[in-house]
Amino acid sequence: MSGAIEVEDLRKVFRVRERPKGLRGTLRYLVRPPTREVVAVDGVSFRIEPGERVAFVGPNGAGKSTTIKMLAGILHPTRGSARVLGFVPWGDRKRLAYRIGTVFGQRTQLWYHLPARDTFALLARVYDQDDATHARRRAELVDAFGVGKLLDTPVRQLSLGERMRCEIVASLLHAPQVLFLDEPTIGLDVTAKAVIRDLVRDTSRRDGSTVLLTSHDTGDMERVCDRVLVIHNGRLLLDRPIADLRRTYIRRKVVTLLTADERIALAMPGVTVTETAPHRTVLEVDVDKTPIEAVVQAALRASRLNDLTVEDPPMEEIVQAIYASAR
Amino acid sequence: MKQVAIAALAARHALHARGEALARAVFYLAILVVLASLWRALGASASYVWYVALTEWVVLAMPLLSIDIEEDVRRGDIAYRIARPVSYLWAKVAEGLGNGAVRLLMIGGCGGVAAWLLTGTPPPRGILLSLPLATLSFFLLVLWQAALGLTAFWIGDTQPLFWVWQKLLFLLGGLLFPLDVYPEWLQRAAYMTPFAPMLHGWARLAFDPDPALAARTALLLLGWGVALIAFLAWLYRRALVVLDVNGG
Amino acid sequence: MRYLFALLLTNLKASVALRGAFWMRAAFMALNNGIMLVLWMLFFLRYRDVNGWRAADTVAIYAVTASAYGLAVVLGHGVSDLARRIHEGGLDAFLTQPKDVLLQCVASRSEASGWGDLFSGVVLFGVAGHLAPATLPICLVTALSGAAIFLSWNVMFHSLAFWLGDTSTVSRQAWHFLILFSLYPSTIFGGWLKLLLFTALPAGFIGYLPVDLLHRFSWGTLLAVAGAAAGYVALAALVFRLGLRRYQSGSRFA
Repeated sequence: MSGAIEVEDLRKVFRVRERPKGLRGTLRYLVRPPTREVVAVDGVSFRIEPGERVAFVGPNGAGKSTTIKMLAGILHPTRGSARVLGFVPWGDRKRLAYRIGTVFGQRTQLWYHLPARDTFALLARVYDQDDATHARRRAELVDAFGVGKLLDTPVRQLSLGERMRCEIVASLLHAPQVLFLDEPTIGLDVTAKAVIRDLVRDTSRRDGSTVLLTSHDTGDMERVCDRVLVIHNGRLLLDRPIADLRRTYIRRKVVTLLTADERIALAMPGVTVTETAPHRTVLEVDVDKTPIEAVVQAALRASRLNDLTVEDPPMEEIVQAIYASAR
Repeated sequence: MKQVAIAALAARHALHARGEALARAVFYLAILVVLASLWRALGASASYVWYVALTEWVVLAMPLLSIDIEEDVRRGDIAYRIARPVSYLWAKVAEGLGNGAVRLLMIGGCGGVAAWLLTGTPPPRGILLSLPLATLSFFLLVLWQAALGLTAFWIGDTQPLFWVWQKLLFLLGGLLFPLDVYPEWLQRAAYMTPFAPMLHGWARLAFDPDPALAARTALLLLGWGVALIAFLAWLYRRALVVLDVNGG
Repeated sequence: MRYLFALLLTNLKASVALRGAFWMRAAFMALNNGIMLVLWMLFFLRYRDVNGWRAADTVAIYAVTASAYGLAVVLGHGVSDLARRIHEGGLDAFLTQPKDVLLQCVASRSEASGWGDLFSGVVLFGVAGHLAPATLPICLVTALSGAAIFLSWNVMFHSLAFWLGDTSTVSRQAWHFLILFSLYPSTIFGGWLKLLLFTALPAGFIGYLPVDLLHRFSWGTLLAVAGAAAGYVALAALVFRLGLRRYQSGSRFA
């Protein structure tokens, strides 16, 4: 069975023209512009099965957006191959376009001065959808995303969260098999982010569609996806299920103690105090050195506890650790 | 004075907008080529081309301050700018003058050279007399732009108003042809409006370097200038009321 | 096709959405054109003709140019954004949809003042007596081909951004150039300038030939006008396609 997305040694080198400086520079520029090469994607390979939800994580300039653009047919690669749903994206752009959906966080495909309803109607024609199918699909999505009341308001009057939901509905109307999301939650408040993440995940489960999501926000990664691809300097550093990541990469836990005593002293190997405040202590525990039970027992002995929380460190740290280990 | 500093900054910015300046210069050249062809076909004297070179010079160099102000109003920036210790209006006028001065200088040379080449005659003596008046007229044009921009507080989209104002300037100010082409009664009517002195008033010195004519135009321009400043100040006060009421 | 129709309809809807601005732009543009025409009539009052070109010819050339321009900006004002989009990577969204990229971009905006131009054009055609059944088809053909040439020329001008980077400030002036040469008595141009007006700056096909056609019908001229329009459209499509390929290879400025 072929994968939904198959990428083999994909490489993208940009030739960037340097801006001319001064008179000499300008003259030289006119004759032959000095260029320099920027390797954005340096031999990336991976395979995504239909129905998988994969996060593409990496710092700015890591090559995430470039890879997605190549898969969506926007850019041609310098070398290497890729197939999305069996099509070569840059070769079969239009045929593939019928089967994929894209949401680019910073750009909108909704007509600004019109209500979303009008954009939806146009999209039915764009994707050559017959009226009955379109109406049914639209009703489902509008219901699932809760945008019914927003459909008749001009898009410019919607809040960012509302607009994003309409945007995603727009990208799903033609029932794409693969959905590319580039920074879909950027600029949104916490509630809006949570809503969108759940909706994307649930819709993907229901439709059986494949999702490839790029984001800076590791929350997107955690809530929506099951697998993560970490990219840094154009190279794939990691390709793992999310659950694995925590287990493998961080052997640390964060323990927050709310104590009856004002202060508590715990000196144990692998235990570092990261925060203190009256009645509150936050510890970082290296579970390789000291198991969690030992820390909890010691804490109970040291003082009466009002509250105790044991958490995984934020995903940010995990990702940072991965980048750091690559350097 | 703060306004001078603002003008100087705007001037510096304008010096960097080379692409735009080039485009404007090329357009200026194109207009001169077209009008030179027109007057040549009519067997008119070279002064007609010099006339247009002068009027177009000032009109093309005019900064689109009205769009600037319109955008400030639309974006809501205006509420912040008004809070600053310099009057928003006069700061904007200063910007326009600084910007415009550079534009005048940048395309002025082009126009002069082009007109010379197209007509084969050097600049008429009247030009020297017309230059200070051109500057005065330019000042008025910037004030008009500011007034148009302020209408954004009421109508939002100032461009349609600008289009009509500009065409009235072309018609009654004699942009393409000197007003002497019109029937007598229309010439007199045109001089009752602020438009005629702004272009024809001083550009006609290309035909006839008459100091008396120049003096009369100078007086008209000063008179209209004072009226414009008063009008602007009043308009600005009304605009602030609108801002207060609507909150930007 | 259904898609094209839906696209144009959506475009127009968006334009009308801001009702106040719509009417003001349309009305004032008509007024704008009116004043310019008065200017020319005053000119012809003084100078009977310019190398055989009379007041009626100027009315005709205004009619043709205004209709062509109006049609072009009402349907395809999105072309004004083309250079900027090319430079900022704004064509990406169009590339992910299964329809023609250029079409999507050109039809993404509509300029309300174009209706004022169209209105002026129709009125002037009427005033010049060309709305009669014999000449009405000519008016339509010239307006359509003029619009096609306007848009094609702009597309080509803006497409320079594919190779030269940020040309948006210059490209926005493109309209003005073409219009400038399309409104003046064509008989004043001779020699190399005339050649220019039928090649690099096709004002001759937008204004001059159509006026000729209206006063003195000839199949040859009609063919020339329609043929030129088709030619420019094909050329524009080609240039854009070449540029798009370059865009997709991702070369950018530092």
